Amino acid sequence: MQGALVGLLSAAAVILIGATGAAWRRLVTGREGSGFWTFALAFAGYSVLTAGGVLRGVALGHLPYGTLADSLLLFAWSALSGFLYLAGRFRLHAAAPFFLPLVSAALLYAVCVPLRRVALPPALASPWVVGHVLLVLFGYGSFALAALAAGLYLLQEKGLKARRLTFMHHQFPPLRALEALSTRCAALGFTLVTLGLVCGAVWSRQVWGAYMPADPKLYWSLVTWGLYGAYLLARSAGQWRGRRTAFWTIYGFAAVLFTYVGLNWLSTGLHRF
Amino acid sequence: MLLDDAPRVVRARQGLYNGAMHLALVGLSHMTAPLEVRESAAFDPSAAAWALADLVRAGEDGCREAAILSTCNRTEVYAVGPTASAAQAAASRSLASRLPDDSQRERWLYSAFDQEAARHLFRVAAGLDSLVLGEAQILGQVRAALALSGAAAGPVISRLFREALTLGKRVRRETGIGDGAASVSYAAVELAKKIFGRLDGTSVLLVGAGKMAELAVKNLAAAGVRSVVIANRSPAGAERLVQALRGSRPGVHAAALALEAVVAQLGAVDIVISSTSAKAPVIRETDVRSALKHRRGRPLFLIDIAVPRDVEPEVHALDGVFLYNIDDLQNVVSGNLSERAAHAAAAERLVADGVGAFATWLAERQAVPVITAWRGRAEAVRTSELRKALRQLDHLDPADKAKIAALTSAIVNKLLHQPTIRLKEACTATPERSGLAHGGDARRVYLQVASDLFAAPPGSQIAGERAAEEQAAPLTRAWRQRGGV
Repeated sequence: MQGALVGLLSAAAVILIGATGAAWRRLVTGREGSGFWTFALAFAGYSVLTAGGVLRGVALGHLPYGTLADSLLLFAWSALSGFLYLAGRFRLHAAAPFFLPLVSAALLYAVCVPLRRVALPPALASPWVVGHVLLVLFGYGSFALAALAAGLYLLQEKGLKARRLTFMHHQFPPLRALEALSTRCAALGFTLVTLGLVCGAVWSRQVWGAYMPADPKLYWSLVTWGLYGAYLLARSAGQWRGRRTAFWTIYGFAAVLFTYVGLNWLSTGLHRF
Repeated sequence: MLLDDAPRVVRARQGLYNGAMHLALVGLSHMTAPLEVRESAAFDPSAAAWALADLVRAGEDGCREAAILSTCNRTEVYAVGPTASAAQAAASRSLASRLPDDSQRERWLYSAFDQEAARHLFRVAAGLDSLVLGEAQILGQVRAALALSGAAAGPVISRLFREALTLGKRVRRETGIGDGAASVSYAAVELAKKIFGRLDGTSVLLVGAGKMAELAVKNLAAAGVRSVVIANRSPAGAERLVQALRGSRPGVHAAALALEAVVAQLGAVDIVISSTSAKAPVIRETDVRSALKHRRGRPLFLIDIAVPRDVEPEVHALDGVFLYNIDDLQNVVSGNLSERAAHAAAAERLVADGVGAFATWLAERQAVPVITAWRGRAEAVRTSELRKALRQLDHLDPADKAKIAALTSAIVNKLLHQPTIRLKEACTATPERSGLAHGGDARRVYLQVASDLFAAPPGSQIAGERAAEEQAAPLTRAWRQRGGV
C-alpha cells in the first residue's frame, strides 16, 4: 500500500511539475495560448492527488493523517483546492507559475521523506487528533494562498511604482483585490489554526494531562500563530497596510514552513510530524 | 491521377457544374487611401443596405452573398460569386461608384480572394490591420457589418464573419495584443483600475479645471467613478465644470471646493488629478504623508498633468501612493504599444489557424452542390424503383415493406459514402497531395467530372421523379422512424 501511495503521489507531483512548466512557458514567452495546458494539467494532478488520498484512506480504514507524507498530501490538496477555486473566481490563474511549484515541491518532499510505519497508535485514533491535523493543515493551506496573494501584490505594486506595466501586470488582479484576498486567506487560516491548536490541547490534556506539553513544534506553532495574530490585529486597527503587510504575510508563511517541515530536521518532539 | 482527357470533356460540357463559391474582397483603408477618399467611400447603414440589396440582385453570374464593413478607417465590400472575378467585379462596382474621380483610384483599392480575403478580414478583426494595433472597437464594427448584411449574408458570408468575430475575441484573450491603454487619457483609467479594481466606490479630486482634467474626469466617470470634487483658483471655473458633469453624467455626485481645502481632502479621496498653472507645487510630500494617517491604508493615486508640476515627486516613494505625471502616462502608453507589437506574431499565428480552418470549410463547400445533386438523383431513382417494386409486393405487411425501404436506403448511402468523402478530400487537398497538377483548375475539372458522371441527363424526367419521391415520402418517413437512416 505504501508503494501505491508513493506511486500516486509521484504521479501527481510529475503532472503538477508539468503544469508548472506550462505556466512558466506561458509567462516567459508572453502568454501565447490560452493557458489551457496549465489548468488541464493542474486539474489532472489534483484528480490524481484526490484519488491517491481516497485510496490511501480506504486502505487505512480512516482518514490519512498519521505520517508526514499523509500530512503533506493533505496540505497540498487543501492548498490546491483553494487555488483552483480562487483561480476561477478572482482571476488568480495568473499566479499559477508562482503557486504550482510550491505544491509540486510539497508532493516531491512527501515522496522522498522516509515513510514511517503505517499503523496508528491507538492514542492517535481520536477525533481530536483528526480535527487537530486537518484544521492545522487546512489553515496552512490558507496561509500559503495568503502568501501567494501577497506576492502578487508586491509584483503588481512594483510595476506601478516602476511606472512600467508588462503583460504580467495586465493579467494580475488589482492591488486592492489582492490585498483583500490576502487578508481574508490569512484570517481564515488563523481561525482554522486556532481551532486546530485547541483540538490538540484538548487531546493533550486527555493523554498527558497537560494542555501544553513541552514540545518544540508546539512552541514554534505558537510563535507562528502569534505572528499572524499580531498581523491581523494591526491590520484591523487600520495602521498596517500595503507593502509592509504583504511582506509580513510572506514571512509568516516562511515561519509556517519552518514549523511544519524544517523543524523535523532539527529536533524531535511529541509530534510525529 | 486524373484523366488526361478531362479538360476536353469538361470543356464540352462547360457550365454544367456551377456550384462553386468564391469569395472576393475589394476595399480601401487608412493604409491605402487618404482621409477624404475614406470619407466619401464610407457607407452609412442605409446606403450599405441599398448597396447590399443591389449587389445580390445582380443575378445568376454575379454575386450571391455580400457584406459591407464600413468604419472611419476602412470600407470593404465582401462578395461571394461563382467565380472569383465575378465576385470581385460586383464588389468593385459597388465601391467604385462612391470614389471621387481620380486617375489614382486604383492605387487606393486592394482586393483579395478566397483564403486571402478571409485572412484579411481575420486580421482586421484581430486588430492587426488597425491604426492602433489591437484596438477592440473593430470587433463591434465587424458584428454590425454582419447584422447589417441581413438577407445578403448567405452561408459563406455568415460563416466568414462569425469566425472573424470568434477569432478576434480569441486573439484578444490569448495574446497581449489588446492589453494596456493606447491613449494617455485612457491610461489614467487603466492605472486606476489596476490599483482600485472597480471604480464605482472611488472618489476623484480635481485640482484645477482645465480641458485635460475635464477629459480625464469624464473618462473616469464613464469607468464608474461616482463622486467628484473640483477645486479651482476661480470658483466660477469649478462651478462650470460641476454643472457640465451634472449635465452629462447625472449619476455622478459633483461638488465645488475652495483651492485651500485641497490638502484636507487628501485623506478622503482616492484619485487626484492636478492641472493648475501654479508656479510652486500645490500638493507637498508632507501634506500627503500626514493625509496617509487618515487613509487606513487605502492607496492614493495622483495624476499630475500640470507643467510646471503640481505635486512634489517625492510623494511617489510613500507606501501606497502612486504619482504619475504626463510623461509617465505617455511612457505607459508607449510601453503598452510596444507590448502589443510584441504579441502581433502570436496573433498572426492564431489568424493563420483560423484561415486554414475556414479555407478547408470553403473548399469542402465547393463539393456540396455536387453531393447534393448526387443525393437528389440517387434518392429519386431509389424512391421511384422502390415504388415500382412495392406495387408488385402488395402481399407484404408494412413492417416488411419498411425493411425493404431501409435496405434500398442503406445501399444508396453505402454507395455514395466513399465518393462523398473522396470528393471532399479532393476539394481540400493541396495540389501536391492530391496529385492534381494544376491546383484550382484541376479541382474544378474534378468537380465538373464528378458532377457530370452522376448528374441526371439534361431534360430527363426529373419532375416525374420528384413527384414519385413525394409520393414515397410517407413511406420514407415511416422507416426513418423505425431507425433507418
